[in-house]
Amino acid sequence: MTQAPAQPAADSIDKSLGNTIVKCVGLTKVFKDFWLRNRVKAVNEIDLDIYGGEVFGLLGPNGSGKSTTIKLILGLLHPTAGRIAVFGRHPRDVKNKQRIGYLPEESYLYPFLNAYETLEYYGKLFHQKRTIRKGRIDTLLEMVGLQHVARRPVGEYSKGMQRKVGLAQALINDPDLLILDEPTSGMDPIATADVKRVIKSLAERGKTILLCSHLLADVEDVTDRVAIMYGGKVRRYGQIDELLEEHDRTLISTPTMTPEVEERIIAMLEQQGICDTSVSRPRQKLETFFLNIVAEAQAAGIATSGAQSGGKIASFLSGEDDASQTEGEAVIDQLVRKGSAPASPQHPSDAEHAANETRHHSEQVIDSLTTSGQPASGSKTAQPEPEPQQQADTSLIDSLIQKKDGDNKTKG
Amino acid sequence: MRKSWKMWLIVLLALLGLSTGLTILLRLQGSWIAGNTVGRIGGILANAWIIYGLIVWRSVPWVRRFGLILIATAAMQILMLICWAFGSTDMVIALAGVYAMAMIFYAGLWLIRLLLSPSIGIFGVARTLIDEAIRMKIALVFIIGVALLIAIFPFAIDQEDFLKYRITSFLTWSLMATSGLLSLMTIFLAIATITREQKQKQIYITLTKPLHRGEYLLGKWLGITLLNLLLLSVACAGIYAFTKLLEAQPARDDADRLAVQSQVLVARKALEPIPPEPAALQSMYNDMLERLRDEDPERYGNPGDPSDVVLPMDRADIQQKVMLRWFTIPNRSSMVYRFTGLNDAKKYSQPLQLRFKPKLAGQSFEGFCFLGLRINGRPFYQPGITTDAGLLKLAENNFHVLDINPAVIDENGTMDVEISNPAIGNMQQPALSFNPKDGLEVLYRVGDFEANLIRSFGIIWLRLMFLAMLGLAAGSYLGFPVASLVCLLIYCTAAGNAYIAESLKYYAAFPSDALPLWAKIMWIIDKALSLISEGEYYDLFKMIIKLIGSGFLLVAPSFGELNAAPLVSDGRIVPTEMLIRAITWAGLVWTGLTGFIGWIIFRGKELARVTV
Repeated sequence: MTQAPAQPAADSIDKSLGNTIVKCVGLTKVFKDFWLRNRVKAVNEIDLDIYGGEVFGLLGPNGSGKSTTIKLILGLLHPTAGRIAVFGRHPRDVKNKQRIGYLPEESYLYPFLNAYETLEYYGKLFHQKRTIRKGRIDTLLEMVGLQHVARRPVGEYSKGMQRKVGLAQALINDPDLLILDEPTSGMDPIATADVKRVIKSLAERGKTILLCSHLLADVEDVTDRVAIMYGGKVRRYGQIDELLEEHDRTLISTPTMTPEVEERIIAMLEQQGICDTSVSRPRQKLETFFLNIVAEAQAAGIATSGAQSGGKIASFLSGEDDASQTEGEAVIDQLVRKGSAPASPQHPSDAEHAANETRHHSEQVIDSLTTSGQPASGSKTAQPEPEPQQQADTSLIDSLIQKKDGDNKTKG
Repeated sequence: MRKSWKMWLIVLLALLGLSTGLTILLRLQGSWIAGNTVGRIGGILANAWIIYGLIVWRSVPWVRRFGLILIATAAMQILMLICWAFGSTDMVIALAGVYAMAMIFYAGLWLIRLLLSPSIGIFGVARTLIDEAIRMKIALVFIIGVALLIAIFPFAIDQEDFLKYRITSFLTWSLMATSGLLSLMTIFLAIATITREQKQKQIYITLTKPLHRGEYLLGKWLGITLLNLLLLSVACAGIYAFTKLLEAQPARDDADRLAVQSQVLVARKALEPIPPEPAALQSMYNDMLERLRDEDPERYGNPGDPSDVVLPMDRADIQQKVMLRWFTIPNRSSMVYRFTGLNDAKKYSQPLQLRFKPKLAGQSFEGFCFLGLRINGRPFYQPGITTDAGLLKLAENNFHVLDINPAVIDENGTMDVEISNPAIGNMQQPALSFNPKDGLEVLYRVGDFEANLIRSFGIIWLRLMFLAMLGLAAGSYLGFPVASLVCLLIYCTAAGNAYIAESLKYYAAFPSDALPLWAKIMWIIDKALSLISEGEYYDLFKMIIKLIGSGFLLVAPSFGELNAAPLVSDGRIVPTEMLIRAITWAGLVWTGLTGFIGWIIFRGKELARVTV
């Protein structure tokens, strides 16, 4: 994930905070009863730093203090003890709000407004000019696939559709800090994939995202760092790759092998002193499988009611075209992108990107296998792409060793 | 053509322009028949084009709205035609009034939305509130209620009554209903909008946008205030239309018709007679006190003990009696009441009206009383009520209005009204008196009914501004039920402030207003202790109630002095002073103070707080 510098307005940030967008020190929140007696310590002395340009995941079971932490960051609650700084300022400072987008755990929309009016209302609160506002509303509605029902009252929407409007309102100001509380709850897998793509796209542009979710797979797919909360305290906190990596295991992925080849490899590994080896067929993720099916149906032109997958990320969010972007902002944006390795002009698909990375790592793995005989550590994980089944003969292992070909993908 | 509705609009305008231009041109050249033919063909084509456009472009919001207005207009015209065919002209006018109210509402709503379209946070909040009020049907119930009441009142009044009284009743009831219903709507809407947003948590999103909490409150207040302006405009138009409808109804006689024009649908200034000099009043007071002390020394104090003071309530009572005495004319005597400041009436020859309500201290002559009347020395004569003896024979205990020629006013704008209580043959007529408040006054025209009606609505609007802020301030801290109770309590206190104060005045003993604060406190403590020692706990309880009530009245605003409805229905001008007082107190001081308190509470509130 790109570690980009903070956005232009960061010049007003307290210099001592550096690239820290959100800083919590000893943050505590105690809820009281009617008689002002302490009842629940929802957040208990947590220290948290969220840096510019990262996707930060806040995980934990129900009642662990995630939403309370978010509300403290947003100034909707006052801390009982400790301090919070958002963009170097008090969390309730209205100047902060200009740069924040917030999607609460439920959509909390006005049921009597339609989607267009809802976005127009929130756009007005950001003092956006009419033309800019209108452009953004249209692209956001297209992005979340609600343009065809934009004039229907939000109260008539399904929960998933309301979440999409909620997401659109959180993005209307192209925020520097996006706070998403259970963003994919109630959404179908297509919309969930869209949300993840938006998150990744924003992160590539150097935006900071604080993500709070129960759906661990979603968090895992997009976050750089996570904090796991329980009982109001942060239990684990760090880079997701470091936290999740199994240091005592190695996974090699190849095209389908015959049983003979598998046996030869196991034997070879045993020769190298590597026991407790297993060989199995990798499974693609259900999400990938589902999305492929839907993509096929969409390609066949089968109609559906309700929300449609917008698919395309709003131009002002992807940075492709934004009428509101000033010349200076455009230059800074370009600079940010230059510093972001994965954000090439063509924006290769995630699958391609993952495939390239995997190729590189599989070369390293095979190198280690053939030279030192020791398993390589620190291999980067990636999602497997569905591959056509291939029949391998006994010469495959030889060719693998000789060519060190990196067509394969590893799965961590 | 299907590609753009703009093209449709251009063609329509071109068609209208061309046919109108050709019609005018042909008519100017004297070809009336050709001109009319072209005009009619153009009209038919334009109408056909409009219908075509409305069908094809019905998905375009403004075309749809325009189409709905046309359909509503056509439906209303058909309905009016049916009513007219059945001979119900009243119903035709009533329908026209309702239609006018609906159109004003629609156009006003559009105008307000346009006004609130700039990208300003406060405007955004205000516009959303108006949408909420209309779409969640909070306001709609009240709008329909007001519209129906205004439309029904003219038909509910006794058709056999004098036209003057029918119009007065209609104005009184419709203004009261409008003011009352809109006050309740304002309170409930203000509380509902802010409590619901907190309960349903929409406020989480709104206040995480760059919007100060003060701006949020101000936006809500602006929305309610503009909505009230719209609703008051609709009600004002409705009341005016139906007043005109009533005015067009047949009157009992010419005098009734004249009374409508000169006493109801007019804005008149009222003058009371100049009271006696303070020294004379004091002398009258002393005389009366002396007499009362002789009669009841227990109550009014010992005449030989100067420190034995009169209780405040008794003093007020004596003062009232002194004034009543000044307005009382014993048998075989007369009194002169001087009215000054009538220069404008004389200058502009505005007809004067002497309005009075004679009361007899004893038995009347079959419900009538007799009095002599001289204006600036000239005897007053009016056919029908002047007897052969030159006296006026009038129904006792009823208001009478006599038209007076402004020429009788002297050069200084002064008019002396001499009223005598004569002897009727051998009969002694009891003492004749007038109510000191409004029992004897002179009125003259200073303005029009229309301007007066608008002024009265302006005052109602200013009061609603305060109620809106009160509801928001209460709702920002309290839940809906508690906030509603608090606001209704304050509203009722404000509306009935004068009555409550009057009731409290006689409810329990209380220190004199003339005493300094510390002396009042000491008096209350002393009194409370003495009541406890005497075991008079009920009196103590009453004193505590009075103390709480007086404190509440001191804090709560009073709408008593800002009630223009009785003035409008009585054809009296809503004075500029009342308007200024309404702007100052209701619009600025009460609203500002309530808003400030609400903001102080709301700015520090934890919006996501949960009590466990």
